[in-house]
Amino acid sequence: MKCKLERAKDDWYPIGMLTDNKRSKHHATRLLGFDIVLETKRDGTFSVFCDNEPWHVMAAYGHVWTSPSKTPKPLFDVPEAEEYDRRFVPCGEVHVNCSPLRAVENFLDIAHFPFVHTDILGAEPHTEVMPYNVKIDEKNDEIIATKVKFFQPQAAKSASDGIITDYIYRVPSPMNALLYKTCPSRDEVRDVIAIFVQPLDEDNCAVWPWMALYDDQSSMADMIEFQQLIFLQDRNILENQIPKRLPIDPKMEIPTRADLTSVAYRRWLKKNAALYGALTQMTEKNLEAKK
Amino acid sequence: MDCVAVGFSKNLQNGRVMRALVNEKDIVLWRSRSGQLSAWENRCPHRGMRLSHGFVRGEALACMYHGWHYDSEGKCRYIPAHPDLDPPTTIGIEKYFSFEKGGIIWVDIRNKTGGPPIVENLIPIRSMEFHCKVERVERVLTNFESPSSHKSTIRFYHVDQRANTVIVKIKPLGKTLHLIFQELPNFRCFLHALSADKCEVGQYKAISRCLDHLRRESETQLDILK
Repeated sequence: MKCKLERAKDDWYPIGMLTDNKRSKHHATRLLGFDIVLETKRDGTFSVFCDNEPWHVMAAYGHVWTSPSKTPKPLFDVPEAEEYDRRFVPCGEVHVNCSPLRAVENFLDIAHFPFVHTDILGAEPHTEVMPYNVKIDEKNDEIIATKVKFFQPQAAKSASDGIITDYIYRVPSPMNALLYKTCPSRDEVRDVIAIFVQPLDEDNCAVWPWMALYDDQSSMADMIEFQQLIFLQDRNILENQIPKRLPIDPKMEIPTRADLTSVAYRRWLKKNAALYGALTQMTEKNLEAKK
Repeated sequence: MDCVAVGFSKNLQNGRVMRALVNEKDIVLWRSRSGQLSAWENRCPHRGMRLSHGFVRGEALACMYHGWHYDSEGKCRYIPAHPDLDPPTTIGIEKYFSFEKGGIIWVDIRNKTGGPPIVENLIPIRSMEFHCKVERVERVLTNFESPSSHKSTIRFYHVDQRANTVIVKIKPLGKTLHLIFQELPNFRCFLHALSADKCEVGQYKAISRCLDHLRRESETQLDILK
């Protein structure tokens, strides 16, 4: 079996936005514990180096992606990125002192809305999480959660009143997740919000939110500010979870019915041996033995 | 040290929550609306959130992340995502023995009853964090003269090992102070200062200034002991 770092190397990871005027020509960052440099050339193309060795690099979904592998798995597909009547909004990065997997799991959670995003994505007494469906899409090996419904006072920048929002969640790879939610301005389509997570190491990550919305009212700055506010509220939670790494074995944390997606996510990570940023009972025992 | 002072009773009001470190253990302290004090492991068993970020709802402590309610026994009583669900009785938090004596909140993580024999009828003066270890403050205390114009001097009196307390006299005020230490990780500690004698407002200020000097002196000592 591959070790968890070797397994994590097979995926693509975001390391910057495609358009970023503030980034220097040689931008130093970190990925999976490696120090890397993102070089932006005059013609607008990119290179990535680690110890002078070039890594694969590609542009997708508003971001620059790289992989340490010589033969990375293909990047997951987001068909909505081809729908050009949408507005595509890369929101910048939020650095979080937590495991990349904790950041993804929090994105999949709705029960925290009334307490963490009070009066925006949720409000008491509307705390109930109704039954919803979670399945693994065998063809693409993705987690899909459907019929996730929740009352929201202000579901998006473009929403003025409270509505029952209907969500679909999708986890196409261990450190990326997307949601499709009721669009406040149009009934027949759904807004897409994604988080692409850059694992700096097992205990630190940079979260790159990206949106593909039907919103022709709000300014770009307002939409970004809205999303940044949401993620800063999440950061306060993520940096105060103990342990930092995502406990992957049952009984280490106690779920309830509302955590169906999170339970499926942990199982799926374990099944796929995607344990970079995870804590297994085995690693916990090893840590204790070292003390 | 079995019993550790974590703060003044008066600084934790009804309905409030605080965090404390006792022998490197992360602890949440909270007081219910009716005034009952609890000290627990600072971690919600659901998703690991520090409960010291939570909020008091009547006689229960609610986690900030998903609002799960825990009663004063540490048992989960309410899960807002499922308002009609009776939470399984197995969901609970580790409790630690805590009590109040002499205006101080004490926590005993080995859960031995009893507590420190001293500190009756003391008046809380100040709780302050020092960026150095307890040993360093004690060393400074053995021969400390405040450089202020007031020339307050702390004279070492004796040490009560059982409660991690140093009893000192402040001259020329003639007041007896109990300095109770709480060790913290990373070369830090808390000093909880209480007076055994009644003080006038001006005397409080003089004592407080003297403690400021003690802190400065302790933090800037050469790193013989760290």
